Amino acid sequence: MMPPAFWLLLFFIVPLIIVIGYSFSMTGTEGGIDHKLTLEHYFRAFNGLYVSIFLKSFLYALVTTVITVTIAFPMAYFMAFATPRMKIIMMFLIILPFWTNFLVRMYSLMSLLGKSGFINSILLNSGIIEEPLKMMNNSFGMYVGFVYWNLPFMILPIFSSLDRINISLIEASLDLGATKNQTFWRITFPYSVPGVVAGIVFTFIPTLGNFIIPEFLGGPDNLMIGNVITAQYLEVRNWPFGSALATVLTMFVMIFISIYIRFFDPAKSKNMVTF
Amino acid sequence: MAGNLTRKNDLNIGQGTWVKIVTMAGILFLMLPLILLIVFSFNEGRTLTRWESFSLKWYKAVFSDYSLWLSLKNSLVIAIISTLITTILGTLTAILIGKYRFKGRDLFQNMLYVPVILPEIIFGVAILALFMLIKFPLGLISIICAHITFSFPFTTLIILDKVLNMPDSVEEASLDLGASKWQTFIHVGLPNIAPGVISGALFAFTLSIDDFIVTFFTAGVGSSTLPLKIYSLIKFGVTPSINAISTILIVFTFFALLFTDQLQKSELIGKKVKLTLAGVILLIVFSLVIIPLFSNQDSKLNIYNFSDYLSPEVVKDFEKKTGIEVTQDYYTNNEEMLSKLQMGVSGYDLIVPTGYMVKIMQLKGLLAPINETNIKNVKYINPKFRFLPFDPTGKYSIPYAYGFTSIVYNSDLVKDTIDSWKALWNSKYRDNILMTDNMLEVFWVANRILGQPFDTDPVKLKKALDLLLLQKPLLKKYESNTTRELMLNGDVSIAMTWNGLIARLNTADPKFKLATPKEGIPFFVDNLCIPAGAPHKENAEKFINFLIDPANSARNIAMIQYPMPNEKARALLDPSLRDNPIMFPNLTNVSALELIEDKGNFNKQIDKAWTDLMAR
Repeated sequence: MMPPAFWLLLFFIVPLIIVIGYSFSMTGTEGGIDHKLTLEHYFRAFNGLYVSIFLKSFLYALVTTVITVTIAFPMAYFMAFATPRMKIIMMFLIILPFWTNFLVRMYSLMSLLGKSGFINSILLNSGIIEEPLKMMNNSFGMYVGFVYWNLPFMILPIFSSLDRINISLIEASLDLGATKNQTFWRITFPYSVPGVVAGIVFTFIPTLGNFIIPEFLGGPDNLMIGNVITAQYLEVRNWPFGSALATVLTMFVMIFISIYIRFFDPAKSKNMVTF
Repeated sequence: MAGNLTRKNDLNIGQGTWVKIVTMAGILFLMLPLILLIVFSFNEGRTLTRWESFSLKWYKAVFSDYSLWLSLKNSLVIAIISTLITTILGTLTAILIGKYRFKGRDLFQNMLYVPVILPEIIFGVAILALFMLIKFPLGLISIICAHITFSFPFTTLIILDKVLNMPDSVEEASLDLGASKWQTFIHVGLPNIAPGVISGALFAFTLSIDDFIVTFFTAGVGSSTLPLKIYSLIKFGVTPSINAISTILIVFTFFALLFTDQLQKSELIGKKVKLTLAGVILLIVFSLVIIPLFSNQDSKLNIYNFSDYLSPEVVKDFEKKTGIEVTQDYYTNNEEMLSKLQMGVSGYDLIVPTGYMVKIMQLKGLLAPINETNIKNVKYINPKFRFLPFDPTGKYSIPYAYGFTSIVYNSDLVKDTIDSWKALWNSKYRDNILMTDNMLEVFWVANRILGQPFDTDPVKLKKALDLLLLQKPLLKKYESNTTRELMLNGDVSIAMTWNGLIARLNTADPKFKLATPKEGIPFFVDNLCIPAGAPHKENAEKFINFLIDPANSARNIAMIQYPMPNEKARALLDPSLRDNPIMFPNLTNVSALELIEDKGNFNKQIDKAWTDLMAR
């Protein structure tokens, strides 16, 4: 009766159920699935080691989100009140990174941040520093990668919320004696909230599951849950354990999403990124 | 995008100094990597950090790299087909949700947010699990299904925005004036939501063409997309051809967008022209997908190999000589290849597993016995390399290339004599040390330093882990894939890596030197094998025979820079290669040259220790 719902059911819901099913199965010898029920993978997942990896991933995603929103908000704010011509130019520059493959962008960042990379060679040649700065293969490099990747996803929804403000509202507030600060917090900021929240969701969750950026730009300590899940599937071939980790991650994300939908119904606030 | 400004911003809101500074810095941050990318695509040298001189050679390299174009073609085919289906599904869903009230509507709408928000890796794993369970062959079609699934909720939400903004009165008027429901939809509804549909389609296209993670899990035979290809290029010594192809794509996207924009605005171009144009594009895409299905299936050969591990010229000659069309896909390590085959990727005719993997695959029944009567040239293979413990009968494998894992160091920065693995534990080189990310090899080295055998004893494993934890604070990272770049750029000065890579580094600059640790070095033999159920087994045998012919072998060695167990081929090499001590080292002074063997069920323990090492 409804092909779209059917599609979603077949290619999305059913696969998730299969993963949950796998997570309760025994690992076959040399990989594969042994169809016997077990809880061992969950016991293992809640063992200190993996809990600490989960917590670390949350921390990385959280820090990334805070940095991203701090940079993105002023940019979106500027853009929302810029001249129409400036808006178009900014919009163009912000979506330009999307035209380059994600991996290529990360590769380019690597050459920017490396020990003898672009930034270090400029600073060294101009005599500002004597020793090259360590900007890659550590947490700093990883955060740069994450922020770079997420910035457009944060700017666009905030912009699209702020863009709806009618300037007369702000003028009225100022005319009626409110200070600039009051006006910002009472008028402008509330308008931006749906966009900020959407931006946070679009930043936090993909960061949580990413495994490429820690691999390319992170250091030896920057292991995230995505790396562990990928390794379980593609290297160690322990699919049930990988599935158990994926299930736990899904549960966390589901809780996050239901809070989001409860408090900020995205359909009503219309904060989808529109180009 | 048009703002709701009813008046000019003469209050200068949002134009304060700090806001401007952050905005400028942010834009600069977003642009810098792209500018670097474009500028360095015209650089003569290989590195992305030092400008040498203007050159178009990387563009030339792109235009002559057939596999790159093939992956681009795959990407485009996948993106166009999935965008079409996504847009149709998305439009339907948006109208359904926006205009109708039905049971489960809210649930359905909320369900749409889940794929938008769920981390991509979970979806990748899940859809792979589905394909594995129903034994759906991985390939273009599986990728298209996956792409539709993750992009259609996005597209729906974008279109829904427009549907909800369209007043019902417009449609009511049309119906009142006697138009049929269908006419109303075509002439009133659709034009009203058209901008949303176009944005949604563009978004779907962008998502699909850029996707790496989900594609990584769902790709199969002959379906490497551009991002997958780029990933393997980055993993195995990237070349500026990546910059060149990215620049081409940026320019292409720019003009494509400009063109669609003009097309939309232009009143001169009638609907018929637009429709014809769309039809022609569709036809081209479908012919790209359909024609290969009807081509001669017998004269094909699908190879699954490490990237950069087979000379393209030798392949080209083989194609010319036999008329067999060769398709190549790449994996980054043995485990990935095994997982893919276990997950039911079928259709490969030739794979190149390392020794220990040959044993695993043979035990699992994943290999077909090779018919030696079809491989006359096997007589050139040094018998010392055949019938090794991993394949004592020699029935399942023909040795391809061999090598060892050792230490490479930058002699400008490392002045000590390096003759022990302990050099990698030297705090003098803090932050300049690189270890491979192959867990078996890393634990092997730790065990060797401790003077204990690498077996399945958990106590020994714990000791090895403790030793590695001592080393970890000194490391740059565990990484096998960008070793070459990290060494060339001076990011690390001493690294554990494979001899072929050391040979290439040494050719690039003789300051990169090989050290052979006295504790011994892990030795590996990579083999040519045929997977069970290979569709073109005889072609694979023909190819193996062709490949180990001394003349072809010699050309192949010169390109991949790994030695092959083929004395006649070695004799044919240029003396600079033939007598290269890195490629063909004198290994008699190394007390233990050890083939690392698979640890079976103990792998689980090793993996746990490895994860522990990574996580701390």
